[in-house]
Amino acid sequence: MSIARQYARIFGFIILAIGILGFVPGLSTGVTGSGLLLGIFAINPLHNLIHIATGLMALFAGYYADGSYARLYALVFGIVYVLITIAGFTQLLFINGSLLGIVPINTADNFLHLAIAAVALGVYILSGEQARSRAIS
Amino acid sequence: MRDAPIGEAAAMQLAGGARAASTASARSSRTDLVARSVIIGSGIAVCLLLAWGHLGLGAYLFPPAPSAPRQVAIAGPYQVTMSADSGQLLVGAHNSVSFVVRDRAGHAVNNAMIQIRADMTTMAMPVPPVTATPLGDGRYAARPLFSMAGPWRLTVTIADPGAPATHAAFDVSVRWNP
Repeated sequence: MSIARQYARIFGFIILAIGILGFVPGLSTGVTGSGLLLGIFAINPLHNLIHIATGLMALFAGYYADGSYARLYALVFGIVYVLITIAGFTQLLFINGSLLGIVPINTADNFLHLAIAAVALGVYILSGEQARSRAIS
Repeated sequence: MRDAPIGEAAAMQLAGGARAASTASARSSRTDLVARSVIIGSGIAVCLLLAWGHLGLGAYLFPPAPSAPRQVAIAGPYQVTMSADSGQLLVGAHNSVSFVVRDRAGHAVNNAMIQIRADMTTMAMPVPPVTATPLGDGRYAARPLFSMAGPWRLTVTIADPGAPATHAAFDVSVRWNP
């Protein structure tokens, strides 16, 4: 199975579960759907719906047409999360005025988005190399 | 001569097969276009939604209604009056807020430790709490930090020596810096 297809299927289930769990009472510190998920990640109903939508798209890309669109999904959502990560960290710098004074507000979310972006783009690059080596052999 | 009808039949079969393949190919390229559009479109939608909610784009385009510059709340035996001295509260740490704390008899409470904790009401965005500076005559000044525009709740904890700590809450709206 190609790495992109594996990634889309696994990531899809994980992020879909995170979105659904965000609505489960007791798993976030605030009222249902809001607060800090697992005490770390700032969420609200909109955030949870975004996670659910991202997960469903990943599963679509990973399963439809035998995962033919998984690599495209990895590229598109890798770019999306890179943009969001940059904007998130830039906002922190702007608010506090200095790199060393980054206030740990929503930083956990920013690092999560950075990780998602890095994995997605890494999968895109690796799946390209995988396809090329298959073509050669 | 006998080959001609067979040849025509074979040609017609081939033409039919080619038409079917072309139709299937067109359908397949349409399906491919739709699938790609769905993935790219959902990526754009997710990006916009994240920017709207997670980064405060919504509050930038549609600033929240201004909150009352002066609010009064009861916290146990105290009456707490909050004033936004710097005017409309903005994102950042340059806001100036003062609190006047009086007991039930109207006397100023001067020796309390006042701590202010701010958090968004739509999303958990806790910021480091700040301790207010006593100014005398029951007045305390603080400079709370707001990291994003939108609705916030200031929870004021009043710790007077010899009395249990009490809390007062004030809902305020914060806008992006123009």
